[in-house]
Amino acid sequence: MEKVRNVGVMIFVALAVLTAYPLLWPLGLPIPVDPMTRQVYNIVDQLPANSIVLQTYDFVTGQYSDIAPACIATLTHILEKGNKAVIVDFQSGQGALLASKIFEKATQGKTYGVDYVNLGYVPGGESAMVAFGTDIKKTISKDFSGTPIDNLPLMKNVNTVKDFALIMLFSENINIELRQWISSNPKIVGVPNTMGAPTFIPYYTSGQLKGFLQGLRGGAEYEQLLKKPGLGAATMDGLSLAHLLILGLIVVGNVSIVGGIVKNALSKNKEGKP
Amino acid sequence: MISTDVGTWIAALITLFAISYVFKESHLYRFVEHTMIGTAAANLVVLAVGSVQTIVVNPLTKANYLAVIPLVFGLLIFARATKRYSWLSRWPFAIIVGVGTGLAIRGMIYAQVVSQVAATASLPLISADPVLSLQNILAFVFVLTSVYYFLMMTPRAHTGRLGIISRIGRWSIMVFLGAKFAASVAFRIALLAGRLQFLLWQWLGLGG
Repeated sequence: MEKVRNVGVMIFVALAVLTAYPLLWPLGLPIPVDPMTRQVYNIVDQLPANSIVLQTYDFVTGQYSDIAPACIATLTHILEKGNKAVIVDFQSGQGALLASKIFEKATQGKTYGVDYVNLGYVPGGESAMVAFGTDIKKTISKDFSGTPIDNLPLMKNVNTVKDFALIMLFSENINIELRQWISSNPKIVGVPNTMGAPTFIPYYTSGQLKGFLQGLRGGAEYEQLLKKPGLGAATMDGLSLAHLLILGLIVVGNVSIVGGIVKNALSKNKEGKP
Repeated sequence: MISTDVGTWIAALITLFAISYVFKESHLYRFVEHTMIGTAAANLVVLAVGSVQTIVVNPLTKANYLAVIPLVFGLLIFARATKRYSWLSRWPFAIIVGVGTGLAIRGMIYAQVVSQVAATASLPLISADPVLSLQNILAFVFVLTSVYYFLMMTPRAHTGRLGIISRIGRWSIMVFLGAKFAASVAFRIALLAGRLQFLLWQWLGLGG
């Protein structure tokens, strides 16, 4: 048992070193851009002037480093193009808090209330999503900092989800918002965390999601397209090295298992012979 | 340069204490664990109070007395604490489950069943691009066999010659679970990278 624990510690230390090294001395490994990411970039890039985009930040603090690069890159892009963004959180209550960290990096030179708004956490889960979808102002009366939303110029003509030119779901459970809003507004892009990507990709291939960004990798690729390498690009080198280590460990583990089987078979053969 | 911000130092020490679990479960780790649970519980209480404020108090101040209804049903949940009146708590739970299920099914049928079936049925199995054709054929076979794997009408469906369909279904489910596990590992490494980035860049002031 102690031996197994020591191996675990060694693997963790190796992972930590490989992940940390490029943070200090970047390797600049290429980050090929997936066509799905390019599609999301094009969707945001081609939005008509003064479009309003809804971004749902339904994630918790622990997922910040995985999903924040995509939030920062897309929000930067939306605002740079002169469009507007509305942020809301339905699932965790922490996404609305973390939005302030994202705004620090993505909203320079932009005015709160005019260019972007944080509507905060809306309690009630799926029923709140339905209510928000049909009448935003009846569902929320104040923004995250307590300002009545009637006093926010950006919210003047926003009443239902139909009023958004694009909806971007940064969420662990994209399917919940998707199933409630798709009939009102089919222009939905999904941005799940890395872990959720295999689960939600069928919604993209079926055409229900108009675009799909895969967690940290999607964020890093978007930064490349935006020509603004940030948190995502910095982390990708370490992620690539860590994955190489894991691949190596899988090979070593399998060779060891196969070796054990062969060794057992050979020793049985020897015992069988007189 | 190393950070002089107290908040950054607290976050850095908490991160290190949490990571110390890899080496040994210590008092430092337990302190962080308990702090995290306490903070999460406190956050939930704040959110709950905020919800009551939004759903009940704010409407009542605007003379919307219908807001008393969710307040009463909310209070009935606490009836569970008494043996005599615990049956009253079934009403709010019945509403929560009923409304939740109704809302979910309404969208689920279309978004998660009809659209997915339609998308699979309309996959072009033969196209100019051989890779796309192969991809679509595999998706088609994997969907059908995975669904077949869950047919429980008769044990015969999973034995004999028909058993091969079930086995392909099982393998395709395992391929999905493998992809899910790989994504889970990648996600964890991304979280580790995030913490290391914080420690090296923000706390120690190296790189970045």
